[in-house]
Amino acid sequence: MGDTAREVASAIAATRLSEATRAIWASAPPEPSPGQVWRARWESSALLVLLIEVQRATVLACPITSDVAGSNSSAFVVPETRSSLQTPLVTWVELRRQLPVRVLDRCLGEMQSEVVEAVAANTHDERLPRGRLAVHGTDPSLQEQARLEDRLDELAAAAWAPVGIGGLKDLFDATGVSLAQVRQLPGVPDGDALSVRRGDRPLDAPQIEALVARTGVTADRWWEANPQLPEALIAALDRPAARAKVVALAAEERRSEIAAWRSVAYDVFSLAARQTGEATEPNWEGRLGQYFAGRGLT
Amino acid sequence: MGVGMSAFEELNATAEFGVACYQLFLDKAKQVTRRYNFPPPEGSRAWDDDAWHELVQDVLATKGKTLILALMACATEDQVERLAATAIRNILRDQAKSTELGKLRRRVEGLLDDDARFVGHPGDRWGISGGPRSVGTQELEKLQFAARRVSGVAITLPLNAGGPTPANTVAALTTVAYAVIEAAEGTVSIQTLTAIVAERFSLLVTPTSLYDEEGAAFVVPSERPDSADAAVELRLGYEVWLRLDEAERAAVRCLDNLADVQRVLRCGRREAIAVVDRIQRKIGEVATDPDAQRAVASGIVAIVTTLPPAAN
Repeated sequence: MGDTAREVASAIAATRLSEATRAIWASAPPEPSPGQVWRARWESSALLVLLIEVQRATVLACPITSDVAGSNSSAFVVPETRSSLQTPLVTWVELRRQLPVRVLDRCLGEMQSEVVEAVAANTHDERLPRGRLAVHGTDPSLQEQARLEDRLDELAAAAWAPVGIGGLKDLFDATGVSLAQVRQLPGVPDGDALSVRRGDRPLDAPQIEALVARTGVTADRWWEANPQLPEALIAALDRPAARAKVVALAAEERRSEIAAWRSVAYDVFSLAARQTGEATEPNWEGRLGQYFAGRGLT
Repeated sequence: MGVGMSAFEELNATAEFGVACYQLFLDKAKQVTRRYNFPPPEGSRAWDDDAWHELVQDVLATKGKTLILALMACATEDQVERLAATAIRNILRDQAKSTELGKLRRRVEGLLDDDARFVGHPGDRWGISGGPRSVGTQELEKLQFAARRVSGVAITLPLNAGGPTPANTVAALTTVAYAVIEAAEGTVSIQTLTAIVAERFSLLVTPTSLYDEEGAAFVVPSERPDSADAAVELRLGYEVWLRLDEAERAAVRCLDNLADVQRVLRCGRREAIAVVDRIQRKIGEVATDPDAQRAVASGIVAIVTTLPPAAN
């Protein structure tokens, strides 16, 4: 190794996180639980967060940053010995917020339970010093705080499932799409064309793409007209482990994550509708598992 | 670390600052040093490969895990690139500041030594003649606040490199030093005094703020006004401009339109409000009534629009 290579390697070593952190980051995301540190990410917004409480569909999360000098008294400074990340972390306790579980992207590690309790209670704990007081309105930490709040707003509003208002049959009528044309849509079995045309079967992404090209009506409008996705299916796809597979599909197909999410959801929904009818609630986790396995993702 | 991966892909795949991240930082080091005309490191006549490597390695050594975690908290390739550029700029600024701070410290020390109101104490500390000899106990924020409260003083910018300090600058620096020591209720170290004085008068401006791309000194606008009022606006505008950071200098042209501030800074509404608020507070520190504040704001915009892009 030459001098430069040696110097580069030595400089990079200063940034290296523990093997445990790198391993958990690279592995399939775990089920969320209190005390974990995650990257929350939605479109162009991302933040590190500490999970304080975990419900089925939402988490109470506290944003985390790593620059202690940029903190203020809205935050605790968690010493390096109190988290598996082994570096001081600024935990913005005053900015705790409920976030949908679907924004959880990658897990990085965890903090000690005493830290989580102190953040949950937002009480003074001498082992967790507050950041310095921002005495002036010109303090740069206030901009950092505002930036975090902007990102929390974006994350809190994250949604991929179309707000299904229904009315697929009406939209077919209004745009003059005939039964014969429905038959020509990709992936419509002969026996299903009538159900699709009546609006009893949801459209999937390739079908919507074909309809956009044929009618000029926007994709969003077609998604809206689809029958509402079952809440249980949305919830199953919101889990971080399912999201990781959706992200992989999106990368493979070079499409947005939201488009990939909708596509998976309607593929699975359509198939279930054809196979089981509407009487029974399918086992969505099981169906998603089969679907992903069929796409080479386990 | 796969071949051909972008820095963003590398971070997502490995949680490591690998070859792709290093290459990105090296590219940004070259861009930033050229664009902002930062002087090469001591002992070098120009930026070269060795100096750029050293710069990136300084960033990694200084920021360490703070940097990798900030990079991992990015959502897009573009955010990773912007963070890299900011990290490089910040370290160049810090390096420039520490050189400037050393010079300023020697100047402040000389002025206090020549002034009978001050007395030196062991450990490079300064007190007021006849005042307490013990170490001041008050918090740094209080001392900074005392320095900001001193009004009616001004210094000639930029500070001259050699020769006697102009009388108004002497009066300004010593008046502020006196107020700070008084607020400390004891002696204050020369390092703290220097840092507070520098902050009060925004003296730690990077070289790029005062020099254009060719290295020619930027002419202080107050030397070419059309009228007496305009001269005051421009002088005050210049004082405020010196204290604006990069985001504020970008936002100051569109203070009246929050959506434009958001667009220029590529940020959310709350962050835009915070930046605008900070600019207005800085203007409020030199002008109190709304008309005067508007005039100073126009003075700043006049400065910003006449400067070369790199100076902003």
